[in-house]
Amino acid sequence: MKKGQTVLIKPNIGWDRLPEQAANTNPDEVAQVVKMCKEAGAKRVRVLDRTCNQARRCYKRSGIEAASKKAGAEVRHIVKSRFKSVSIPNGELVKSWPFYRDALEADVFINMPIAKDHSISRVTLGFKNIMGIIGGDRGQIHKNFMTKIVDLNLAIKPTLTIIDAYRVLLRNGPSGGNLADVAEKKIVIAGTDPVAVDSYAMGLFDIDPGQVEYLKNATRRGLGQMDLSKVKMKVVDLSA
Amino acid sequence: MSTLSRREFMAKSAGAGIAASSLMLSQKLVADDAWALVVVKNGSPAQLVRRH
Repeated sequence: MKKGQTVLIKPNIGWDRLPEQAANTNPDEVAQVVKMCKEAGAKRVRVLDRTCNQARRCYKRSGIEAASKKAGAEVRHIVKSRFKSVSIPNGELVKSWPFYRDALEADVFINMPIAKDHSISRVTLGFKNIMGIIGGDRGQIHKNFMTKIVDLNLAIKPTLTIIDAYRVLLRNGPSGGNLADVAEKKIVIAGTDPVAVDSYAMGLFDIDPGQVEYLKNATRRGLGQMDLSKVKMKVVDLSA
Repeated sequence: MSTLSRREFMAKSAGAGIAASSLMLSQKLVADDAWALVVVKNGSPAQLVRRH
């Protein structure tokens, strides 16, 4: 990013859960990204999400509000009037949908999901995290999800996707609650190619990305590369 | 070589060329010798992010 740019960070803050329950993005990771953006000269860093549980409780209990503010971010709650309809001419099932202005207008958009199990979509990673910046009836997206989620991702492409897999909710997602469902993996996956990032993260759940319909759709439609052998990739092990 | 800013990307994506622009941006990032994927393991949450 360049000095003076505006940044929107979109973690998962959807649930009234503690960090240890792994339903929301790790607050320390969000704070660290805020700090790095500020160090790089960002004019403004905003953090927000359209929550599933009551927003005030989610923002507080997740630890993300306090950690982000301490790191220098503006933490915002979603305001209905700030959604704007976006045309998706190449959408196969979704031709237009309301998106949050802050995400559309930011110079840099950082998508920051937590990797976790999901009762409807099997897992939720970067592509699905986009649902936190859309308006309208999100339930509609869950019907024909594998096509519609790609349609939405055609409308807004993150500058960077950072998947938090420090703790991974392996069962009973997306809200979880039981610590027995959480595995401590201590991994962060980041990349400019949203398809590659999600494809790598599928391995956390022992899922072959080649069997995931939305990744195949997204690759076919030019959003990135699911074949990791074709991706320029670096792995850093801090314990080595 | 410089990469497209997100605003430039969004401007280029307006209209019918969204998928093509996405692909173009991905290819440009690779051409600019940027990484497409970085994985960091076995640190604290802050260390894992900072090492990117």
